[in-house]
Amino acid sequence: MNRQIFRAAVGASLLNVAVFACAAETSAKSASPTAPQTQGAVGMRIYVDPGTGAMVDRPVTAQHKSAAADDDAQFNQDNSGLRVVTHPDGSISIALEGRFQMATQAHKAEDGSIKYTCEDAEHSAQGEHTHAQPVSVAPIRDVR
Amino acid sequence: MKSQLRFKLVAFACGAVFAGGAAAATITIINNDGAGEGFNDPTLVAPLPSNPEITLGAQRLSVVRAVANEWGALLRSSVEIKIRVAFNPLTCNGTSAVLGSAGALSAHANFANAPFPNTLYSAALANSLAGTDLRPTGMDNEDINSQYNSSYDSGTCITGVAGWYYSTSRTDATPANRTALFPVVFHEFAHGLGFQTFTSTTTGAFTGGVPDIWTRHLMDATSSQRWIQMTSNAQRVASAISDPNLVWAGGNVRVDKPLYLRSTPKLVVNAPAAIAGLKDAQPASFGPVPPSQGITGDMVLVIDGTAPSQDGCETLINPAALAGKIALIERGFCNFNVKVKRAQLAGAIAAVVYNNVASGLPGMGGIDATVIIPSYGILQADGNAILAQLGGNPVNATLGFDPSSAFAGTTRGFVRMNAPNPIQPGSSVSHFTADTSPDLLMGPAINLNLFNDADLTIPLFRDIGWKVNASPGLYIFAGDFEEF
Repeated sequence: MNRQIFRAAVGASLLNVAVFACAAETSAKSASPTAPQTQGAVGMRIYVDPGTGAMVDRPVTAQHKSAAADDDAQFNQDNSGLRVVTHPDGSISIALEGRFQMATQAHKAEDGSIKYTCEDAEHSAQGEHTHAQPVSVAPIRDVR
Repeated sequence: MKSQLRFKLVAFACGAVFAGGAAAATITIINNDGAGEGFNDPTLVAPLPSNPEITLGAQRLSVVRAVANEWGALLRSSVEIKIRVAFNPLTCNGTSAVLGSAGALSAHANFANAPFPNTLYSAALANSLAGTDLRPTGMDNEDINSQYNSSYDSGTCITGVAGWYYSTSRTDATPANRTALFPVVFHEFAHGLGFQTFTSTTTGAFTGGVPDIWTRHLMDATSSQRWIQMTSNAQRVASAISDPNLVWAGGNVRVDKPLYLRSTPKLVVNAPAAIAGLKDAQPASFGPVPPSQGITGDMVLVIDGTAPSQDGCETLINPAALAGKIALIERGFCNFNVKVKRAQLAGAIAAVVYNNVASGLPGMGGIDATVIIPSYGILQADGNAILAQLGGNPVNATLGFDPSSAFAGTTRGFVRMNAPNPIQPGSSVSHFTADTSPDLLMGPAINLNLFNDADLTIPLFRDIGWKVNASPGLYIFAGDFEEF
């Protein structure tokens, strides 16, 4: 079964309310009827930057990020609320609903070097941002 | 649970055989793309040396199938592993891009043959351990979900990057303006196969209230307390940001680490006495790691004939002096792999790049499978000290290791896990530390040069319960599991 999924979400952040709309469906995906929450879960979103009014492809405000995570299980690393199914033989199953997806990102630095890092999909969806304090990571490699 | 430690020396290095074990795992790629897109994209493309397919979709599919076959050959399972894969337009712009993702679709506990009770295992591993498909009706029909960025081929993601390179072999060199898909998929599939925790690193809570196999091997090195033994979520939250004290306590990783890790890299200046000693160094991500005894020679400054002539960015004009020596090169103006390759072509046996700024080591990244000599980056001050001596007596040095140090990336004999402060969700805990030497497949900063090197991931997979095909290792805990 094919299913068209492509979501362009627009955050109307000037109103401090993120409005996510299904704008178009352009990417045909074969969906498993048993897994609607993860099929084609990632789509291209656009947001309104409250500072510039420009439309950008990364969530800017906290509301954007929260809504992106709520809207898309793929971006959700929250492990709460997952249903534990206990089978007659005593075994346990938990459908992860598309959470816990790890994502590889490429970042281009000002000097032109490209770094590849792996983090979770939710973090990746937040786009470029800074942390409250310097992140203690191992030496980053440059190409020059 | 009574503490119990079962040592079983099954086989020594290179040639472990598991009696009664299943054959190599069958990993099936489930193409989740619709007609005409993703894996079914009919766009004609030129065949590659390692990928003869002539459509974009077929080349993509060939790569993920090659990765699946690679993991299938490494692991043993009687239950088919199904990976749902798609190419989707993921986030990207001129400076960053999501390349792809993967993860388990379900987790299972208390199934027949489960090594530990009340312990979650990712679907593929749980099925393998149980010897049957545990997914109940109504749950996802695959074990792993994975997707990759189709927009990356548009040439609009990451300025200067034309797109993916669909090679299936490391010998098929990746062009400088492309990114090899294979090593990205190889890394991500490892997550889906079990290289991940389901415990929240931000709340410390177990998923569904059930600890996972990861929590039995994560340990705070100072207290020797494993995550599953910690009595509060807050303890796990604190441990997740406790770098360098979060370690992997599994016996196979602990025992096999000498096969994959080296001591802290150092440039050992042997002579002249005025500058002799250990100098901080960082190996390049490309080229080989020096042998355990190091590689020793006299140092010679490169000359490329174009100012600044010591940056090695043009063809070197002093090959006679460099032959059989260690090339000394200044950072800047061209990529590290270009400098080292020029030194190699001039006959140097190794290269040392000194920084062109006062602080820090040059973290020598880059990709070039044709570089076959080792190279280190050193501090500018150390480079200048060597330069000052070159006019007099020979400077003799060794690209080696600190003989007094532990293996790089370890604490108290245990391999560290990534535990930066503040937390980096997903990156933290579910990767080895980035401080290992050499880089590891499952480090948080991905070294694409590793391509299909499974390295210490295989011992870790043994720790969490995977049966594997013959690979280096002592197999201390093969067939049984460490309890505590």
